[in-house]
Amino acid sequence: MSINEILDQLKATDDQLRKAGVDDVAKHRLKGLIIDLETELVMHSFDPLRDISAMTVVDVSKLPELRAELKAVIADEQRRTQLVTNITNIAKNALKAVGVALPI
Amino acid sequence: MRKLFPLSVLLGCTLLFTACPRYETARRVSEEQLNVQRSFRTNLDEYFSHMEEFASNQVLLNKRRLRELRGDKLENLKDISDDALRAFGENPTRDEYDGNRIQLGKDIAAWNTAYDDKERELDGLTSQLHTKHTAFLSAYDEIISTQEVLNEYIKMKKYDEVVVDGLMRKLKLSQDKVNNIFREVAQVADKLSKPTAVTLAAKEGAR
Repeated sequence: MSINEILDQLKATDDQLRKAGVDDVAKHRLKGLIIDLETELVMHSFDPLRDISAMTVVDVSKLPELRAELKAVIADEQRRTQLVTNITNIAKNALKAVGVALPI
Repeated sequence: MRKLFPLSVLLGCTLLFTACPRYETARRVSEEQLNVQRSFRTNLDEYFSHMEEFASNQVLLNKRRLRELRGDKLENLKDISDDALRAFGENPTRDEYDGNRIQLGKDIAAWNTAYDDKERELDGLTSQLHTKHTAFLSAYDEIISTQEVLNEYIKMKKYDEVVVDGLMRKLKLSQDKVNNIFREVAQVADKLSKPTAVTLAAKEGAR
């Protein structure tokens, strides 16, 4: 039996007691319990939201450091590439200067 | 030596033309991956925003319900208190009456505080949800930033490619030229396959 079904039955019992003229004390105490139960039901309906709030976000703390390393690698590669380009040009000019014809 | 040159160029070109598409495919995949991640970030942002709005509306409705329940509870407390007062008989003493009312006041204050706490808790849950969503988006931003740098690395012209590109520019190679080289190599291969006959004919002629 679900909590909602229990609540419905409690309300039905409360109606029966009122109609039967049962004494006020018992009736009021039952009514109080119904209110408390319904209040707790409202609060528990937000349990999924509490679970989300308790979730851990994926740890990305290492990424900035690794990104910086990769940026350094890129900078190195760019410098190396520039160096190769310069060397190639120097070699080409040197060959031209000594009169060596480049192929094709 | 001159005859062997086209063969070496051919080998270089074959390596070059078979290797390049792999790099290009990796670059395209990396670029597309980044585009998808950026779009997904936008989707995620919108989705979280709708979820927060939904949660906020739910909180609003339930707070209203809690206020109704609070009213019922306070009324119920008074009923129970009146029941207790009636238990003293038709004419309760001043102390009995005062004691009963003081207790009712205390109960009402306690339950008001309890309901205030519950409403505050619900408000807190929506702001916690927003904080969590912000943390998720922030983590995803870190992932995208890293992918951007990775993409930059994948897209960059690397050392060996620059050498090959430079070579290609200097050799002014085009597909036509490659085809010509293929033809030339075929001719060279043809000539190389008959050296013995030529040599023998030359020797016989000399005799």
